Amino acid sequence: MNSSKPILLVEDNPDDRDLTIMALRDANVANQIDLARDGEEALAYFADRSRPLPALVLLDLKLPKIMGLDVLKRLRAEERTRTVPVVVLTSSGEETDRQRSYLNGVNAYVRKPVGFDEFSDAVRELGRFWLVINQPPPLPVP
Amino acid sequence: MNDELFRGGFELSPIGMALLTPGGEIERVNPALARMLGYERPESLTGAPFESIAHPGDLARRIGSGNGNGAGGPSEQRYVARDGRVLDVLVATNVVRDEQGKPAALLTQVEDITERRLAERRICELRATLEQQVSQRTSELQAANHELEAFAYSLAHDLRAPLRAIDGFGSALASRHGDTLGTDGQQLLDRMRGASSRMGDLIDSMLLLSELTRRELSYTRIDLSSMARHIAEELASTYPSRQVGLAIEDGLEAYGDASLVRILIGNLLDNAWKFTEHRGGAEVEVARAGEGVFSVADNCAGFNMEFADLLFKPFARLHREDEFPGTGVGLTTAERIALRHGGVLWGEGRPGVGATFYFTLDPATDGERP
Repeated sequence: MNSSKPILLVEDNPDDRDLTIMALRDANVANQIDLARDGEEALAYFADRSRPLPALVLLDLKLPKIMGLDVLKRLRAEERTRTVPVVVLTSSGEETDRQRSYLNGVNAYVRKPVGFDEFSDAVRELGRFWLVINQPPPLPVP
Repeated sequence: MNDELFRGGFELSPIGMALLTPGGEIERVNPALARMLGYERPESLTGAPFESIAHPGDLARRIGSGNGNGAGGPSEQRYVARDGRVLDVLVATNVVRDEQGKPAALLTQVEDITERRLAERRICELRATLEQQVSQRTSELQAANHELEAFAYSLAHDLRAPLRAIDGFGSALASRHGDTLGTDGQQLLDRMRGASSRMGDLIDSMLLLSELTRRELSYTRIDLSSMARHIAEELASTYPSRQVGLAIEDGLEAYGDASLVRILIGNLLDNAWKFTEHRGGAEVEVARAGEGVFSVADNCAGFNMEFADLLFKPFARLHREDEFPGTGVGLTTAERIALRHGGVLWGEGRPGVGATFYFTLDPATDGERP
């Protein structure tokens, strides 16, 4: 179940970055994984219009420079990026973080579990839904 | 007026009294007023102008200032005693008229309220200090609370991340280098991963505990019987090897925050289930133990009542980790949930015989222990 469009992973912690990439590769859900190491890099990624939009954004909340929630707000305010699927992938199980994320238009909120096996399962499910299931139906064959 | 009657009242009155000429000169004062002003004999003041006892600052508004009748009051004024003390006084003045209706004299009654004023000022000062202290303590408490919240938030974020890394890279090590590690190496790795996962559980249970004090309760009517049954089904599928006899009384109802009460009952049942491990014929019972009092009982490991207080201390444990695993926060959390509802939670146990935990969720049934 590959997608030709990349996944953008916005994560500052190198361990978490590698773990997420490992989980994505294990799940075999994307050919290409692009990285942004803070909120600023994430916004610069979208500002470059020559680049195709990613199929999915995995967004950490606690980021240097520009926080995840502000990245999300900016994406939802722009016509071009308004409908890009964004999933918050965070350590925080705080109710306020969850509420604010949904109020600002996130598509899903996932709290990273400590166990890698559960995390891997969660990433596989996310990939399966956003890259495979949630696609426009195929055009009817004329 | 009956002169004799007046004189008797004047002389014996505990209220200070003075008879002034229409011009404001003191004709007579009674013993009470003389005492108030520090004179042994009332006659000492006869003939003196009224100004001599009034506070200079009050002269502009003193009684008998020649406004025609001088009557009025009661009003608050200040007098100066013989030794210079300033007295707060409450003064009322009547005009005494002759047969033609012309003012013949002024009758002034004086009450010494110095002590009362002093007490009032002290109360005002105390109140101000108290309010200041309260607001200082409040802001100190708020600061401490914010610090705790920041601490809990940091636990959620910063402590969990390294644990994820330990478990994640451990998993990668096992899958990529399993052959090189050998059986022993794999087992050691499993224990590392197990430890990181237990620490993750510890952090989560601490977070839940800290969240309990902050979160607002949303009350609904709760069917405790069916809630307990659902939880028991989950436990049965989590521990499929345990044979546990289960008895849940029908029609148990309470009013409370459903998601918190679920954690409360879940923790009590989980505890009971956990302690069935080294025992056949285990039985767990959920029942009503009195008006608004519910109980969860088991016939398993039990505990010594001497250590009952330890049960509710976070991270305190009565059993060795290798006997019965756990975080040591379950009962603390359950108790705090009962307390948040205004109820109580307590336990009774006998080692090797069993344990029963009781709880209430309603302040009205507080303390009615069966």
